[in-house]
Amino acid sequence: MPVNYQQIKEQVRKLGELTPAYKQEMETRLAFAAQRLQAAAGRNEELRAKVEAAAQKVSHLRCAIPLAESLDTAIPMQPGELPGTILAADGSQIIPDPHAAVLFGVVNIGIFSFHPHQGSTPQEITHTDLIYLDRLYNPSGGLINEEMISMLRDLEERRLLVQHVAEAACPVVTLTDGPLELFREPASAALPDPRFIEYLDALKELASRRVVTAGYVDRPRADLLVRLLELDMFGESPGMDELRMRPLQGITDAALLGPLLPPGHRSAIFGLQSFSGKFFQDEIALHFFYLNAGTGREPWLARVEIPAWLAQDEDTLALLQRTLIAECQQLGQSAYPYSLLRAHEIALVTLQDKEYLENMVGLELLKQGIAPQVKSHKQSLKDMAGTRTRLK
Amino acid sequence: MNQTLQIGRLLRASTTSCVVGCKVTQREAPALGSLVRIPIDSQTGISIYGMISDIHVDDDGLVRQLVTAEGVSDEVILDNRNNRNVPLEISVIFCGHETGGKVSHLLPPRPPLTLDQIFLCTEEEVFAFTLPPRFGYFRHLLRANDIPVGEILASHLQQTAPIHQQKGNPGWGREAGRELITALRDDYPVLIDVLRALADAGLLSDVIAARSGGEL
Repeated sequence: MPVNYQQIKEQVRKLGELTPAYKQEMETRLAFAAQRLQAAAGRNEELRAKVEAAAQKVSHLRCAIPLAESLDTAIPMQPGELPGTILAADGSQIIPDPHAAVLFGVVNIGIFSFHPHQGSTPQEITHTDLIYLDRLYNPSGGLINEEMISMLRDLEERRLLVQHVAEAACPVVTLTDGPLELFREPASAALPDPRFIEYLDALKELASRRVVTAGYVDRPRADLLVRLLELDMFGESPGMDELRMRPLQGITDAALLGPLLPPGHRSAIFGLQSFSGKFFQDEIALHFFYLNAGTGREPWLARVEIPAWLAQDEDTLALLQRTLIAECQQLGQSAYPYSLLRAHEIALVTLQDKEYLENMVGLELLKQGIAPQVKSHKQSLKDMAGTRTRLK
Repeated sequence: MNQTLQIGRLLRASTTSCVVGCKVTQREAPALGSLVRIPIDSQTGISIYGMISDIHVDDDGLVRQLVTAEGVSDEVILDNRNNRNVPLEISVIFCGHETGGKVSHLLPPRPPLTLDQIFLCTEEEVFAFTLPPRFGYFRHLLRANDIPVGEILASHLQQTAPIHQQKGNPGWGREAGRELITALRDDYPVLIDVLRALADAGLLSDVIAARSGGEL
């Protein structure tokens, strides 16, 4: 039995018992946060100073930086043309498995090229990179792990976008799933991964060509604006203990801004205060806004990360907002950019693909006279014990 | 139609029928009741002949989502028809075969194999395969279950009769109708179904004329 149902039953009952009170507490906090938002609206300069002061004390501070627009701004979608090309990229990977019969990794990138209102069939482009032999190891000699493969995937996505932008009809909008800022990168300010530097170079290349670049986060759990409001709640010069407090914990920016943004509207543009901000500088400095991509009564917010140059260009920003709304509308009630969904579909590496590739590599090695390899005993026994239903 | 048109490739087959996959956008998609040819051995010249008995359009999660959305753009429709792997599945009932130029209405010696190509029959091939007294292929359809026999035969007769007319055989439709009535004389429900379909296709008057003229 995979789960001790007897044991968990009591915990589930307790969860149900505690949730109504917790929900009530969250509603109280949300109402308070909404009040703080109204109180903070229009005090952007003062708030920026508070962020700067807090960032001096907490190096990994993550919060929104208010810019020109008031915190409670709601900007409707402006009518106009759609871009000549939408290029969406997504990636999928096989992480080298030391227990598998053959050791290899794969990074698979799908690019979906869409030309709105041109009556042409969109293009699907797939780029597959097999990682083997020396490339399986990091500079310190260890086998590359999930994070490194993810770094390679994010870099390849960006590189391929740069490559395909050259032949795309302008203006071009490029979309990727998730933020432009990379998870856990850079891990260290002193010695960033060279591939992270290449990633930044690709972003700069897109910026120099004035290619609209956006990272789309569906159902964001971010609390960057909420954190800003918390900083505002503290005194003039808060100490470290105060700065560690989270009086609005559990409240998301989406919950806070949802009631303020009618369908198709975007929030104010914010700068992003984060540790990685040292690397995303000048024209690629990270900014974001929230967008109500839904069409119904209930708001459906997305967080959209953009580079600085785009945040400062009102017309191009309006083009991006229009493009995202048009893309989301293609999928009806399930608002999500169609092109991103298709890029994901193109890129996806299934368990079946993985097994097929393992056979291909094994056969090639056999042709070269290399004896067939076997899975680890652990893996073989796991495979025997039950049906695998997911990629490790 | 005199050109050879490839309509797809074989997905699966049995002794009596097969299923063919083709792209949804195939502009000259074949019609129900059309005759198709599947070459299975180029050395001995064996080809299987069959009739299209069903055309099935599959769906998936994304398509189901899109049908509920308003204002789906032309590009999205083209993407789903041209790029996504959702083929049109065409069911074919085998009606006979050809070996070295000799047509037989017996079942083929073996079924075709996966990914064999399927071609729509040219007018010459239809004419040669259906030339009277060659109506033996009707039996393969008449014994099939769960297919709209009347509709398929009516469509087949509608497509084939003009070819025979062009080639100097205007009585083909009448003879085909007579053959069907004879074959179904002991199966009243199916006979009525077939006659109703022929009536809807405007082919029944020929058959009735044949009966009243004492040809039956």
